[in-house]
Amino acid sequence: MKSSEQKSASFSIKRFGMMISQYIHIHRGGWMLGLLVIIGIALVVRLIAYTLIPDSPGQISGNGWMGIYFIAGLLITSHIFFDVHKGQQSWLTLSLPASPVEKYWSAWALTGPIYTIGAMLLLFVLLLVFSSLDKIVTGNSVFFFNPFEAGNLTYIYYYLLLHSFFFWGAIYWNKMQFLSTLMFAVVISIGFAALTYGGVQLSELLIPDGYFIDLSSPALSQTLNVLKNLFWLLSWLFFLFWGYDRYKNAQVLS
Amino acid sequence: MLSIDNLSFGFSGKAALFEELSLSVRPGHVYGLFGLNGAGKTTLLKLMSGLLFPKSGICELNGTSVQKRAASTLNDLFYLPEQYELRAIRAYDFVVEYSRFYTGFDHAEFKRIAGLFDLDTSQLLTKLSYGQQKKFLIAFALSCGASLLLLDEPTNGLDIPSKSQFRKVLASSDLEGRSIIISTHQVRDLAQSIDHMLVLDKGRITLNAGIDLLGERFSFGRISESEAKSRGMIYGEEVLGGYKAITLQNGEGAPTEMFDAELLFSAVIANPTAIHEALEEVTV
Repeated sequence: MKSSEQKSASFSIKRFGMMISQYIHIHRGGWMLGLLVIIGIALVVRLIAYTLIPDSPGQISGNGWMGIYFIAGLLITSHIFFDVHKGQQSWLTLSLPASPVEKYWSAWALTGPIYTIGAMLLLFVLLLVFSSLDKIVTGNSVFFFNPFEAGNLTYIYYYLLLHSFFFWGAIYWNKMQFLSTLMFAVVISIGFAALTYGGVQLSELLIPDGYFIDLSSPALSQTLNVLKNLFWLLSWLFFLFWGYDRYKNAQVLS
Repeated sequence: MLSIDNLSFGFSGKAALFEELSLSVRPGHVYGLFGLNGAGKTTLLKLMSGLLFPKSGICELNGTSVQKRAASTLNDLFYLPEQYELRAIRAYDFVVEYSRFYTGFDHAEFKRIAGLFDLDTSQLLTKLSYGQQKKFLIAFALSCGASLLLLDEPTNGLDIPSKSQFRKVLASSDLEGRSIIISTHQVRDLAQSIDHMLVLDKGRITLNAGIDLLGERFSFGRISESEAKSRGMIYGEEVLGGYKAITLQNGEGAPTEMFDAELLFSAVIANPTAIHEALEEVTV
């Protein structure tokens, strides 16, 4: 019965979980390498600090680590569908008995919320170990990383926001997904800035005596804030669903 | 089981490969899909497995469009491509990782076939030769419990004993409620393993008939030049002292050699009308 239920459902939590485990398994080499590189760089930086400025090598803190979480996350996200773009590998993923919904959203869950939780836990443990070792060498106090600090939460918020854009890029671009998405973001930003600048110039031309709206009004500022958040939310959804449509329609052309 | 209705397909910027192609695949059969190089055999298998989408028309497995790639549909079909790139994981890990998705995967059957193929599942897949990789994937395909197996050139890369082993494995597989479509241009390799012949030519299925029926209608064998005229040879290839020929199975004096799929394939390609006329209502 259980098996027939699994067969008939268009969405199954079990298959969703299996897909997450599948992605972890497929990318496990990359995860391990990334982790070792990060730990290695941190150790080297610390050793340099001990060697060059032995009197005040500085205290271990969460600074910089959130940046690594951010960049590493977007790099992993950009690479998550690498096999779908490879003709001789994509057949296996695309024909695996899980629906496109399960395949796509499990990849999203892994590279977004699950990655964030994992990275925060890892940072907590890693920084605890580092600062404990540091205490032995320098006598500094042990550092407890707190992901719920306002600054860290802002990082997480912006990561999860930008994640949808890079997740879309992972399926949209056939090659160099991270760089292509970055380039696309630059082009879009320039276009957006040019449009805004053009709009301001035009309004100045049409209303030479000044702006027709009072930008300092609190009501307007509140409205603009709501509009800004709405814009981000809609963009977030737009890229996620555009990416899903792309994934659903991916074909093995070679 | 699988039905294709008025399917048209062509790669962008190229001429249409299939136009209004229709085909029905019934359970319990091993189909041989034959065609010349570039006839579109691989493309047709990809369309059947939902890895390519048709321009128009529909391809359904058990009433559901394969294009939707529903989990239940994918659970019921397995496509083994001719060209593939496997990841650097142990064969055993591959089975553990991927078999979980197939609700009907039979581990005992996989072990049996892997044993017949003499496969070492502790090896990294990338360390296996192409032939061993292929045998591994064939074992996986035959054990996954899918009711439709699409095998693209499965004997390519296999050595002679492995080809024979493959035929034995195929013959010993349970076909109840299941169909296998084997695409190949090596007709001779698989002629004894199939019970239904499909010939794809110029974007159409030009022959779709069971081996039993073909055997009833046609005789295969060597005949002399004079016999070629008197017996009404349908198709012949010149050999020393006469022809290797296909004639109608009409009693006394007909050549009695075994069914020759390769010769019939050549006949269908060279002169489909003659074969159609001989088969009358059977062909598509």
